[in-house]
Amino acid sequence: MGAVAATLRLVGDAILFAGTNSDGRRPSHPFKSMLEGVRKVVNLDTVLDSPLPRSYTKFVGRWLLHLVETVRQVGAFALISLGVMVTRWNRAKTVIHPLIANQIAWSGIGQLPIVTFLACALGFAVIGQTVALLNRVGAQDLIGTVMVTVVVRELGPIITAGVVLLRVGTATVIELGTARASGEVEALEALGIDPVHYLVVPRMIGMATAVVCLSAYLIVGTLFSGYMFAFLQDVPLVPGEYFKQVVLALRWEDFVLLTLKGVMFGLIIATVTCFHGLARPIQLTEVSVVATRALLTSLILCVLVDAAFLLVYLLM
Amino acid sequence: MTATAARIELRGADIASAENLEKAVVVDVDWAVHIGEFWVISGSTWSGKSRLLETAAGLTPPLRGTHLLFGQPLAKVPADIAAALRRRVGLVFPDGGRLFPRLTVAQNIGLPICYHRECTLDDAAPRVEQLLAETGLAAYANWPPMGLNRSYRQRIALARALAMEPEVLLLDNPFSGLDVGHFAWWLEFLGALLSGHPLLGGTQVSVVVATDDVRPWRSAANRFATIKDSRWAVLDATSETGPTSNPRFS
Repeated sequence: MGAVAATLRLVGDAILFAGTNSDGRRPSHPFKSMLEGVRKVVNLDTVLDSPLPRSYTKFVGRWLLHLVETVRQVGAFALISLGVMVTRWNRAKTVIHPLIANQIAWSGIGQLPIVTFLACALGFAVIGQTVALLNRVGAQDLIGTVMVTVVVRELGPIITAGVVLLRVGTATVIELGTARASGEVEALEALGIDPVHYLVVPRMIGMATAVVCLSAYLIVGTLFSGYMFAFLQDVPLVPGEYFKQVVLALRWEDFVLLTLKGVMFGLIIATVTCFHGLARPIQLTEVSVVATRALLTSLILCVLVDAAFLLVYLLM
Repeated sequence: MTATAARIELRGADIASAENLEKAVVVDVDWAVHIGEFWVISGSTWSGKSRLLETAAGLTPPLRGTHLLFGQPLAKVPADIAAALRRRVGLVFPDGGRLFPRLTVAQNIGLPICYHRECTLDDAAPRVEQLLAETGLAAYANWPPMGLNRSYRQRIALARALAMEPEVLLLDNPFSGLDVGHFAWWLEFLGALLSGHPLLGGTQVSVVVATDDVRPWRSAANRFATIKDSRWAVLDATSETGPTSNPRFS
């Protein structure tokens, strides 16, 4: 520990040395104090011995305020987009409907191979092992409840949202960010085409539909593949008993909440990625930064919504 | 000519900067575009020509002053009427026209028709083919626009702007990056639009060109204006104060 601290202190001194002027004098006050701060942070002993520095709380506070502001802006963008979706529902059907179909094909059908792979992996990692373990401890009666709680309520929707976010959300924010940076949005406006109607609404409908459908597909696939892996481990559980337990553990609320969750996740991913891609003029060089920010915001919002649904499940 | 209502009119308008929407890039613009007029607006790079055209097209409101389209104040009419008025003004962007790279040439031109007239691309095909033929693009209908050079992309942008049969055509630096061989075609085509092209049912289109080089436009245009030091000035196109001798032309 002492060697590490000494090394870090050396790095701090090197940074301080780099901050001196050519004549060897120390830099002006703000820069000097910043470098002093760096040395204090770099010095591990100081960090370990001192109470939580005020700068940390300020950093966390600033980050939280920034998150709240982003959520507020995304919320406003979502309301505008939903307003456009409702008021222009029947407008320009010949243009918008094919865009929706394309979006569903890309976000949904296009992701079937990776979702199939994940269903197999999840079945092996979660169900195969859980079924084997529950059998070993003689708790076979809980298999259905565990499956529904883990796969149907939690892992199915959130993993599907993750797939759509990574594979479709990333591409969406890059595509829209590039379109914004190259002036395509202004070109749409000049042609009298509402950019929200043309670019955002099809993505919202497409991604919401895709997450719901892929969640169902992932869940069914996971339950089947999980039983296959359990079967390969010679677990004495007949298929009829396994699926009977799963069906008995399911309640009608599960279907409603699963659909709602999928819709929410899809809307969040579509809204956040479209917001970051379109909401403000950007340069081409900023597209990668905006994409990263969009992914992080989407992830945080999906987890927060998932936590809210957890409360609903607990109240059920 | 001035007895009829102006198609575009800006009165005491300050034009907002693209970088800072609260800052004026051109101040105190008094300008009216009438039928049969071919305006050339000159100015150096970053002088605010593009912002002036975007404001004139109704994409950005002026910071101050009044903006009328076809005699109606754009800020005071309901949104749907404002949108309908804006559709009567076509805007061609510079440097390749900001085309949609994922659509083909024909789809680029057909998009505004299909969107506003609620028809499929097949229904819009006759009109799209007519536009393609008149702009010399018939052979490239199914090409991606980025597969063509900038001179042809600019023509696609022109055809796309004409798809909605505008009564005013605003062109932002249309010769930027164009092969010299295309200049003559543009001048002839815009002249035909000004006098009533069959493509638009003989309607006389008012043309406004923003440019940093006024020389190619001297013989084609009949009205001139310039932006210098954020100031708007309409120039007389007589031989004495016209673009050849007027020092206010940059």
